[in-house]
Amino acid sequence: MKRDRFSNALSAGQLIELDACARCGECLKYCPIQDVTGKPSISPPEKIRVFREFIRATEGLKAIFLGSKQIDPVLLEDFTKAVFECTTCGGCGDRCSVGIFTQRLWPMMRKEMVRRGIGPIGEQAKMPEAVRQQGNPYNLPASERFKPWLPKDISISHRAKLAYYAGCTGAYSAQPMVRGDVLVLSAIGEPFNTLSAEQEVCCGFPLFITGQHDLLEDLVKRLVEAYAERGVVQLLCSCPCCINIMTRDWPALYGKPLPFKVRHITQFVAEAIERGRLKISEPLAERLIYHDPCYLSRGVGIIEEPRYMLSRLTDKRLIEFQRHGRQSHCCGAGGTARKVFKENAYAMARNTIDEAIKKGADRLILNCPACYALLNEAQLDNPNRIVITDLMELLASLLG
Amino acid sequence: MDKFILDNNVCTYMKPHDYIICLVSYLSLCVFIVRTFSMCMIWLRGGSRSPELPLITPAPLARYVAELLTLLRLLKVNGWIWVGEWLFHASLLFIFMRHLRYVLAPIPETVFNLQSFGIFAGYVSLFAIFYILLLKVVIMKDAYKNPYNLFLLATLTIITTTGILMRLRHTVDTMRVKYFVLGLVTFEPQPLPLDPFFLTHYITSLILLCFIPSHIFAAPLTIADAIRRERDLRRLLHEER
Repeated sequence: MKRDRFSNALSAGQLIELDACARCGECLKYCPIQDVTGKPSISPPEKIRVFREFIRATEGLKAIFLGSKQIDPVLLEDFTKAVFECTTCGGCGDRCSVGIFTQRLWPMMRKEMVRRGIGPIGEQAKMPEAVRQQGNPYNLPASERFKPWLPKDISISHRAKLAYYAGCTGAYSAQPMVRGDVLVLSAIGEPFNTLSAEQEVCCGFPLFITGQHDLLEDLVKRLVEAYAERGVVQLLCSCPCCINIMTRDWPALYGKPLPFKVRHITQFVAEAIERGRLKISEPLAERLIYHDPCYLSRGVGIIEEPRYMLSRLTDKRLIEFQRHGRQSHCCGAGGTARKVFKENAYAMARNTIDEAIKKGADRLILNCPACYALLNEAQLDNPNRIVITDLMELLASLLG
Repeated sequence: MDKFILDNNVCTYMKPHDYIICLVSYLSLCVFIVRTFSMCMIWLRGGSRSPELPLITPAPLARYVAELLTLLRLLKVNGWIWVGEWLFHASLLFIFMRHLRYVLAPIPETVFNLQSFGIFAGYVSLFAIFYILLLKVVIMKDAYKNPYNLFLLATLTIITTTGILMRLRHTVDTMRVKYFVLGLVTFEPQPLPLDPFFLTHYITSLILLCFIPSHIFAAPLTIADAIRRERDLRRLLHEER
């Protein structure tokens, strides 16, 4: 008899992680969802406990000899809601006393729920079809990907060793950010290319993070081959989520090492500033506070470069959030949960804005299109307001 | 049915309850082995089909040992709890070493020399358990209430308290305990020392054996992986430094 295995989507390491959880509950203090909902039933250790129970009930020795137990559909539904309500920021894993890599564990649990047909939730379920049709999860016309924000006077080479990937969220929801990216790249003066609006499809991250993995290989192969055809040696991207999947998963999905190097745009720009290839007109006389995106700091370790850039953009000392760097606190934009659990996302975003104001910052600097889109949206109904600017947008405005 | 045994010129008989306890002991051990085996089988069935960054380097051994011995990750998260947990885990090690005298004959000198440390560790572990309970339940009022952890703490409290009481009141003949334990180890059952503290201590230990927390086996593996992962994080987008 073929058993209904819950462990399908998880690697051996992740199954060990489920058993490693000591249920100490320390992670709850670092969970942004706990901050806004206060429900321990959707906490990291509880999700692990319940998923472990699912595995035991269907794959444990008792299940093998006496037959697997039927999982209560209500419990399954509650669990699915809990695992999709999470922003997958990985804050819990970063402070886990036994080192569980939750930023990876939650998406794989989601994948299992998708396989069972009970996930994803709401808007998230429409993403694969949107990506298939339009190349982006927002279901917006592919032809409009670059038009609204790409300055006409920017010269884009067809073949260049350097390429820039804008990403869907930046291109459709955080246009000042991607506009800043290309303005800065142009100012550096090194020829760069981009794929055409139709060719630059989704990097796969929103599908990966919501456990909908069917299209991933195809998307990655299309993108990698398109860049390889153009002779790209270095691919730059500013979106933390895109850069995360590019570095962590693209090689596995492509089936071999990538034929180019992937770098975050701040690495390239920080180097250019250091080498004197970018001139900044006059530093800002403002107190800036920088929010580390979860998938950039905890995800791929980009922490110092944005700070180096900011140190050149203001003559005042950079203000830090109480939790910053790898311990950064999620603003609510992660894991595509903001598409379904809007109230949670807004509450988290307002916490970020309120802390920035409380710290005495004049301007909140972001470095992620999802954070940018959410915080600007959440600020609309917030009595406390702050100027929100993307790092590259700010740099572009200060170029000499 | 009773078995006649000559033990130091004292005649003792195996009574039905002795057989029952022996059977329960073996059953508990079986439960422990089967649970651990089942857990490992599930680990081995892991899909590994998820796209994941392959292991680049193994965890550095020295750092790994240091992290395990100091429970460093917990220290970084909660220093107050760490004090209790570290004291508890360290004292468990000495208590375990002390108890080796019941299963080893002759007793190695190292085990013999550690006996007084083991006694001291018993008091420390009891203190640590109450300290953790006090912190979690009364002072920090943890949001995440976990009945399983409370059950473990209660079980450990009973085991430690009865262990200390046996030591203080000298109610049990340790030689009889040794014969009983050696009898179990050699599959030649011996009569159970009939002492209420020992019985409580021993039966509660059997219960604990059946419900031993899985993190004892899994956490050392995840900590090794976390060390490697954190080191490799720097190499994802940066050249090696």
